Amino acid sequence: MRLGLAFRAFFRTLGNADTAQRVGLLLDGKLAGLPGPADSTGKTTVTGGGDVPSGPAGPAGTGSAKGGAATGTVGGGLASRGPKPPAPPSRSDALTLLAALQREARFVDLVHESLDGYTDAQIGAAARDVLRDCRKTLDRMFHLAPLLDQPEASAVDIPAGYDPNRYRVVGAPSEPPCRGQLIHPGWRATHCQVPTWQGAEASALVIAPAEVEIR
Amino acid sequence: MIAKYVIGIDLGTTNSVLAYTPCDGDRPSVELLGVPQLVAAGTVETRATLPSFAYLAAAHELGAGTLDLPWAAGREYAVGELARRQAADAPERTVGAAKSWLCHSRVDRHQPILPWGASEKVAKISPVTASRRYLEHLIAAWEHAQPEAPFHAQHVVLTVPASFDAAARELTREAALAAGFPENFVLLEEPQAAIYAWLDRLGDRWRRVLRVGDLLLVCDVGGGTTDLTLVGVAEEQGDLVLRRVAVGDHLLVGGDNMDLALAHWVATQFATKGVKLDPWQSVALWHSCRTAKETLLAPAGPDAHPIAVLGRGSRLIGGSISIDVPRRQLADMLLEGFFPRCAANDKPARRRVSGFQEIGLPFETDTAVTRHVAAFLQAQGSGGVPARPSHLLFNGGVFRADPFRQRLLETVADWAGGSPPPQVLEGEQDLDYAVARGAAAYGWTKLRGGMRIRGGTARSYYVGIESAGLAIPGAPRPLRALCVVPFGMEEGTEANVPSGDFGLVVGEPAVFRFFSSSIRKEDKPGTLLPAIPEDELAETDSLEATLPADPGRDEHYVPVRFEAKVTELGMFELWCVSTQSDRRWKLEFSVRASDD
Repeated sequence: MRLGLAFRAFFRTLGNADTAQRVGLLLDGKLAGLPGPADSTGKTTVTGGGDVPSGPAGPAGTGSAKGGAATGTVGGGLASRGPKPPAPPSRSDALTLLAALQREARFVDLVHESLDGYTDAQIGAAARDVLRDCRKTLDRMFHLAPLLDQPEASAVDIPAGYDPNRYRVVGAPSEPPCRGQLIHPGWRATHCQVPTWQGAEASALVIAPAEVEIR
Repeated sequence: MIAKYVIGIDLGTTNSVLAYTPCDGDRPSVELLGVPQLVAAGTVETRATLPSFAYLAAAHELGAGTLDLPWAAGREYAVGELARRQAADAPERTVGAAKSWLCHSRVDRHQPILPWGASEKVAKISPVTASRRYLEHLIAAWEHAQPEAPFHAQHVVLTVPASFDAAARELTREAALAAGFPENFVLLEEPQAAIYAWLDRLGDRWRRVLRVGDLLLVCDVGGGTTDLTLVGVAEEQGDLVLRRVAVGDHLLVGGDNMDLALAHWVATQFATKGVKLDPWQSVALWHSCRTAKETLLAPAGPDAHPIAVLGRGSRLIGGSISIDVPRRQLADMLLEGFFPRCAANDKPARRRVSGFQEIGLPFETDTAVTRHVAAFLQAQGSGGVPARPSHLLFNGGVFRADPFRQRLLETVADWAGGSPPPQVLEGEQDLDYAVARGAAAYGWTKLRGGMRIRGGTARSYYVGIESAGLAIPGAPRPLRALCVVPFGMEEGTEANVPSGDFGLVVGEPAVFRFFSSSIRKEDKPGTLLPAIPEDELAETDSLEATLPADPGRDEHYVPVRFEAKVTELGMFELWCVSTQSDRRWKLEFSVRASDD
């Protein structure tokens, strides 16, 4: 029922500027005669948009729907971002992590290489080492562990008021508490220690230095 | 300032580890310190171990912050993971195995000689300096993490191989003090530390595992060295006590030899395919071989494991070459090469003696750990019957591979004859960190009371005395050996050495040749051996003292006798005591290249 409404809202918003404006006002809680935006209203829209698997316009639609929701609720901070944080890190931790994966496992080399013209055996031979070293690196930095210790296909109880960041309930959900089957136990980091980088601003975007051999 | 922590440090040949426990509490609660270190230029990561490598950078490499640490800027060298990785690309500038050089008495360990064989362009460092830098790094990491508990105010235990002789211990102590260790830090033998780690893990249950008369063989095979120790279980006043009864010689054979042997074999396989590896690929191959070894030798491992060498450029898949290593072949090669079955009376193949021996590290000629164990147990036996351990304790990363543990256990069991075969000491094995953890647990025990392993000195020590008499041209004067320290001399004790008087010339350095033995356990201070038994005594660094001329006395020489002392901290001291006055002089190791 709500899913159907969400679909309709999504496609109408996408296709009709007038509807889009009204949906925007509705989400912002500025449309007369309606109560303010309950959390659920915003959420439904976002989820509906996000779950739509079809159409080339999908990603754009998701973006606009999320944007609309954001203005009214959590995203207030995004729109009116005040002064910059005092000391921005000289480079993103994400780049430092990527550099570590390239350095220790040659991850970038592997994913960036075209697979055309190689046999599966050739790819497998190279990937085996890269994957092994990626895992070693990620395990060391994040001590990865399954989020749930239960085996797959076992029964899981979803409590009322569960944390949607911990459980993704799929299929035909009824109102929690409810019981389902574990499809994927999830992952979590039990530790987080990414290297710190302290190079100069000019080389902040370098992921791997060029190697030159002097003969 | 009152110490809050006991810190245990394992200064390893290839990896160093720091563990600590609060001084208070009912029992030690040991943690490992994460050590921030450079892993690439300008990139610092915290890891559980500090690889014992130093990289001496060239001036052009030093960009902004390239080798900076959270606590140091403008460094021209790096220790740890970055240095270890550089060993592949820039061996000329990478120092490794400094610890093995520390106990190599044929070189002067205060001279800048490392990296061994590097060209003049590199500002080399001495083995002592390299060790100091690893320790300085660990201290800085500690103070970075625990700014309110300065390192020098804590109780510190540093481990050394049991096979380190007095001179190597003195050099280790010197490096540690220069790095900023507290004056009263304690040296502990690594195999004993492994036992303390085991005791700590078991708590009081160990008393149910061991019985009076049991004999523990600690077999520690690390990356570069093999260290053997025997510990006996005895009873004193109704309570079980452990006593270290023997230690083996310093053996330069370990896991690195295995990986290298495998890499060599794989490289020849590649060569038959017409593929020649560059140095970088050779080192990458070495690492792949280590993984292959652990994968294939794991329980229920696969029948074959591919070893690939990735292309050097960014074309990874296209440039990769791979071969399959069959499990059987690998097991044969490594088990038969390093843990062959052998008889209880086998001996390692002797080093080939040649007049033109390279001075580098004296790696073992015979890589068979089992034969070294056999020789060790023979030397510690009595009446022609080798010592028979009742329990085995494994330490060192090599023993992660179950077949090595099994093979060694089976081989030692074969030697047991009719008596029951040895058992592996139960408990979870923490092969990489046990020594540092055990060192911290020992420090806590020393402070708060608890089970201690008794041991004393692991060797007996001798001073070489030239016999008096008419000189014969061309023939050296015969040398006799005077025992100054008996085997098992306890910490905190002194011994007067009964002997005739020796005349020390005033104003000139008096140099004594110095020998040690891990076999001669019956000699007492004052025992005079008429000749040097070469298979029983090993020469170490000589000792010297210079007696300043005393203006108040008109004398050319002073008659002295020797007095030996083992300090509470496990350090050995030898003193010359005048027989005519109360003056005394301490003999110091003259740690420099011997004549040969």
